[in-house]
Amino acid sequence: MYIIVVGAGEVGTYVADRLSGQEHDIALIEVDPERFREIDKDLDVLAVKGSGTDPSCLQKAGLDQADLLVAVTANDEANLLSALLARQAGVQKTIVRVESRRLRRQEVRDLFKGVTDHLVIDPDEEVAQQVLRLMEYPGALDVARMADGEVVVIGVKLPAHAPLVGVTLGALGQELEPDWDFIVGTITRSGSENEKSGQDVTFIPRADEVLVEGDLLRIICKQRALKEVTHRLGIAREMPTRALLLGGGRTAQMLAESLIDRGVDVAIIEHDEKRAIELAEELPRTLIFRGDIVDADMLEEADVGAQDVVIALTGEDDSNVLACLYAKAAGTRQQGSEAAVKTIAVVHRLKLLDLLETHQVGATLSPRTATANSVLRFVRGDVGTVAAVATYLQGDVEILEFAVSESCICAGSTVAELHMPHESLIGAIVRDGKPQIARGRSTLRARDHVVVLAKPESVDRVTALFA
Amino acid sequence: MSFFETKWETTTGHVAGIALMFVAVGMFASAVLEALGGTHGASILLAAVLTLVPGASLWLFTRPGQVDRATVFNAVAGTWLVVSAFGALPYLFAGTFQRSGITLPVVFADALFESVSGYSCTGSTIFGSHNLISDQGPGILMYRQFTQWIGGMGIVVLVVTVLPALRASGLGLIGAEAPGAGGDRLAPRMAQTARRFWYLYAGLTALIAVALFAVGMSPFDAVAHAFTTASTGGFSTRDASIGYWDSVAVEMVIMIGLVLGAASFTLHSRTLSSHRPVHLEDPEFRAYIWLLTGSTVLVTLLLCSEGMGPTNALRAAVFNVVTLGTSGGFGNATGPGTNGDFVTWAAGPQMVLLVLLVSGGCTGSTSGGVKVMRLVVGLSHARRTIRSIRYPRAVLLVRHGGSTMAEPLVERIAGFMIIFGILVVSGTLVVAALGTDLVTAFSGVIGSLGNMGPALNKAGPTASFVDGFATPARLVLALLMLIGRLELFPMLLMLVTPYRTLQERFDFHRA
Repeated sequence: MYIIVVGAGEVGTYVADRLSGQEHDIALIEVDPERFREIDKDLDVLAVKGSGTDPSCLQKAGLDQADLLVAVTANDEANLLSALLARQAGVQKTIVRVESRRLRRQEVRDLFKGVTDHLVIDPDEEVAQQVLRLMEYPGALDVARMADGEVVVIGVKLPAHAPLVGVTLGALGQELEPDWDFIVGTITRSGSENEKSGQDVTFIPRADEVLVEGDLLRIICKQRALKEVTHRLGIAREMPTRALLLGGGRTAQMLAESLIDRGVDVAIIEHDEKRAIELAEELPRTLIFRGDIVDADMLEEADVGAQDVVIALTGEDDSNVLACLYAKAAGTRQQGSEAAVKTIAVVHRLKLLDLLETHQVGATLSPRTATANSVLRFVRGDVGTVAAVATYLQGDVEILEFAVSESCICAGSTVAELHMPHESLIGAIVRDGKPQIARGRSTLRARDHVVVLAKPESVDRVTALFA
Repeated sequence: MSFFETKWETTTGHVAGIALMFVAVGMFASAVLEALGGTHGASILLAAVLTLVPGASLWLFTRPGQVDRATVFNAVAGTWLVVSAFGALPYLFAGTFQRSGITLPVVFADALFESVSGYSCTGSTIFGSHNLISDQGPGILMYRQFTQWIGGMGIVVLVVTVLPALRASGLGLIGAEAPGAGGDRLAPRMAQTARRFWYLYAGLTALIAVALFAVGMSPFDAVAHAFTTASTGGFSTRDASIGYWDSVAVEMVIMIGLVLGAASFTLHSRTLSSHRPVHLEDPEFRAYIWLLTGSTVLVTLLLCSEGMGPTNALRAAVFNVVTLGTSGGFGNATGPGTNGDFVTWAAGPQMVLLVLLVSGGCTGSTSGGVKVMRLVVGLSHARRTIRSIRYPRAVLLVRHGGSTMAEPLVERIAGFMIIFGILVVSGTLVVAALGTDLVTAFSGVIGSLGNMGPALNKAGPTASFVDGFATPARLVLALLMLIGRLELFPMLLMLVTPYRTLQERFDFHRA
């Protein structure tokens, strides 16, 4: 697929990098000269210097042969204009990032009548929804919902006290017979636990694998069994009643609105005075502070140690991480338990992730993953059978949902007969809205939805299997 | 240039002149009534002429001048003083308050008190057992009701309806008289807005009159009480007030009328233009209804606990809560010491009534008091102040309903409440020093400042203010009524302005 990405910001760069790693041809348009030099140097893409609203610049990026245009600059109007130019040039798929509610209305969407696929994305809103999901499933590092929410893929770092520590997967399987409610999809084990290399490895486990403390598990489970699963993982907790949001941007506001709807007590710390007043006007039931999120006095005034969850959402990674660490410490001091205050930090630089894990900052995510999931679904959707895609910040594994078509070779065969690629696993089969965990003897039928977990290098082969 | 073409430039004089002419019209009508059924027709006619002549002269020989803020406030305050003074003439000439053993200065003071109590829509009265209302002729009685009616919507609002020349400054005039009403324009032009307020007011009055007639009042009484119900004034043509009829139906009509009068007329207007009731969408009105309902329940329970039967307790509670909570001040006691005579209640339910005396009705209405909106905002401001000590860096806004109050407005409301408190304390001090007991003095001062009328102890619903207060104390109360009717600021501005600036402002310029 030939893809033009307009805007090499956080989202654009990440999406371009991920897609180019999956053998798509990418042209990346960036107006800022410095940023342009960086991507030209770092990424395996055609970097074009200029504006995405400049037709000649789009030509240079290969508009005529493009299958998809992704416009993700920070400017709504520019994104829409780029997409309209692409549409005029015959590009059949467009994805635009639009933040303004006014520009998300039907009148604007109607401008794109006639293109095969048009998608409007809002990274801020997607981040807000991800954070919400994390709070709904307490203790999880990440949560993806597949098959209309019937199947949940939950990422959990196994704590020492979890009942599953020291259990072999074979024994676990015996215990779950006959009808499994969940299956361990992948294990990511840190370097020290692993003799072969010093790095983290992600693998799809066999029956003889023993679970150890600190394993990052990705578990595919039925929605209704979630409570039992989190209990087995030793992370079951109450839904938060007090939340402190650090940074009062759009994401924070959307998040605060949803949390208030769920009866959560919300407070926000915002640096800018004007924005703080604006928030106070728009969120009457939220306590708004004007102050610096890395100012310890400020955090204490906002009762940071008494919170259930602290969510750092500013654009500054360092501040986010620092504030989360402070919140953890304050929570330990005040509530006597290290897990008392859950922290969620939004990070924008991948390199910080390891640091966060060693310091136990609960869950992290970034606007780009959320957006990338939408874009990837679009790109995979090229095959016509991919219903949903979930990817992770580390990029070590992807989750795909396929709709089994009548003509698919897999329809009618059992999972074992399919000979799935080595680095992939069929996790769940959803038939008529009812999920079941896939076993070797499970049979696929047409119109089933299948949730598959795959390492990136085998995604194409898996996709081909269901085409 | 002939003498008749000379016009003095004075806004106060011009507005007051027109106001006096309106007052004179009421006096003429009363004179006619008195001539038909009483003995003082000629006296009231004389008062009417003596009001009309200076009024018309002022109107003819002055023109509105500059309309800066200070002028506007002075014009409003001055007009009310002038109207109150001339309004006392009918009582004086008819000898209404002449009694044996009373000196002429006291008669003057009593006439002035009754006039101020009428125009300021308060409802406190000189009449009592020594000087029965039932002894008065129909003209004097109707005049008394009329003063409350004209004062209820605001005499300056009435003037603005016929003063197109004032243009935008009319808004300032109305605002100075009743800040709630002044904030919302109902029509592009100020005179149109003022006229619409008066049409609504007249319409409401007519409705109440018809309803009262339907439940058994005589046409005379129905009109008389409609005047003082729509205006939430509280004067009655009977010594026992509404208790005379001893009828639940009459009480119901009066209560509904009072609540409508104490609701914002802007809401009434919006309801009429949008053909659906918007009252319950208004946060102030909702708070107001809660206040009245809660107070009624509380008073009923307290009365029951004292041994009053539930039905009687409810009837006594709801009527007195509504009449005091709307700054009306009618009584439904059939006589001293009966169920509705709240001064004989225990201290608990009386205290609830005292709170209602302070609150009053909604902004933009005919009622007095601090107003529910100020009370809500004031409480919200107080809560904010306490919270800001715990959370010094929090952005804490004061809200009313769904919207945020601008900080200058919050400050002014806080200032208003402080001044109200100061006036209550200093007023009580003066009145008590003049020989009134503390409960009567305190509640009487709140009742006067809030334009309620009756208060506690010796100032109860069946009492005359002559019984509870010495003559100088009554004059202090009258002053408080005027200050309260204009919502403190215009009158105080006039009183505290140093003499020299005052002289500069009233300096007449030849044109």
